[in-house]
Amino acid sequence: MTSADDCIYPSDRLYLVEQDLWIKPLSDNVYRVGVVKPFLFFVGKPHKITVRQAGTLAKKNTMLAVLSNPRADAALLAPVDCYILETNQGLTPELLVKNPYEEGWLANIRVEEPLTKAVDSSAAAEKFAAINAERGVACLETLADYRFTVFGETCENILTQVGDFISRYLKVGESLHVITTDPATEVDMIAYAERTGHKLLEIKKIGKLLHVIYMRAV
Amino acid sequence: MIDIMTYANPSVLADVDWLKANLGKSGIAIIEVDYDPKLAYEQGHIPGALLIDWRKDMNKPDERDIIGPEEFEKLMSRLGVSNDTHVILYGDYNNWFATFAFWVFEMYGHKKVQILNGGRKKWIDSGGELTKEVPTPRPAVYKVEKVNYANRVFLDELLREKVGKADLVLVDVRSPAEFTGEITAPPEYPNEHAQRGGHIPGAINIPWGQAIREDGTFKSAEELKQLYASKGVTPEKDVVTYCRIGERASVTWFVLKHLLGYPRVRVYDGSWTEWGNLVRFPIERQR
Repeated sequence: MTSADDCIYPSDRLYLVEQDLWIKPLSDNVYRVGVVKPFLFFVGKPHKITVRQAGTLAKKNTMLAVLSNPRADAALLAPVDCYILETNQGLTPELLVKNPYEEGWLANIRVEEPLTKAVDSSAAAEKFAAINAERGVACLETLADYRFTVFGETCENILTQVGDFISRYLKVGESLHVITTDPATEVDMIAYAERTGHKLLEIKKIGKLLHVIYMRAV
Repeated sequence: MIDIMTYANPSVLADVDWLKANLGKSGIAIIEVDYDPKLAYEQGHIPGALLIDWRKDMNKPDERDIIGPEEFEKLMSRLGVSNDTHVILYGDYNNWFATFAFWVFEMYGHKKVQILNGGRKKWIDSGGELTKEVPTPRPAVYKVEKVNYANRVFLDELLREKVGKADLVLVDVRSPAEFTGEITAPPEYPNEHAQRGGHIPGAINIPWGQAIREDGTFKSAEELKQLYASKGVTPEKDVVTYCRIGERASVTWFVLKHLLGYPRVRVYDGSWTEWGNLVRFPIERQR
């Protein structure tokens, strides 16, 4: 199921909207659990993932996992009391970003009470759409290394600031997610990449905001 | 725990384990101070914790200044904090904004206020409970008896005092790249810039994070003494800390003033976004 903000919620599993988690039943009371894709766009690229150790009990509302980067230590909470049976041993930030629904799973858990709030993918898409709008999140193909929200009186002003950001912070090969509103137009943003030699990875208008991803090439 | 006892003023720190054992106790207000509440407080906070949204609650809406005593009284009242409440502060970005708030609480004479050692990070990493439930405190009566500006320094004072005073030491606590002017803000929140990069002439660079351990807690008193003394920041000096907007400077202020007991330490909260925007002011870059 794909929602209006381009976020994907596979239909072969259930979702815990309040916790930003997906769950896939493995056997009675046992689930594989992972994080939904828009949460990654909310937190930004994680530099470190901490998953609660296997063999421990996660009380309701305590951490199952924490995604950390310089902006945040964002916690994912246990929906009910649950035992951590196994964690994803090979999990890396790259793997999580690549596919949070498959290789990027977090843990297998055994729940101590039924997950009555779990919903299917279409209900999840609808509920997450509202949350994503409130958080200012949209899903793109690339989860960039940096994010920059910029509003200017003129398009030139916006592009100047984008240029400053790229030259100040990005190494060659790193990417920047620019979130902006009018008066920047898609044409200007594309022309900017051609003029500067930076690679335009993605450009997408979602709601009132224009999302552009540049990769520093020079 | 043993380290804490060697600090000059250990009563300013609350320990995560102590707080876990004392959750829900009356007379205590736990307050999360965030720069980005959406990613932090709203995503799960210590049960019963209230929120101070640093940008909205600690700053005046129009002129650039921290809230005045009357606004502080209103804020405390709204949070259900009275003059006798034991306040424990913690927050995002390694307690930067919680420490800034501590500095403001002290300015307005709050009697019992502590920083949760290690902050949000340590609480989460140690498996502490979190909740998304937002408490609704009963408004309290709060009165600021006396304002104490001894820990704050403004630009004009800095200029007047600096001239011809060899014992004044300016500690720039930003990253080395900000100190040398390569960048003017950390990339995680780049929207608050100065026109020029660099540092105040004569300042020395001791990044705030050098006082912090991997787990987010403060280093031992011995380590801290060594760190600052080796750079010439010693107790007999008149110390001024600054960063970009004052938040990281308050962390180093807290360390020097309370953990090491230096008698005279002030935060220049105008910091680089003031100095680096002034016309015809000297700036140093490489050192």
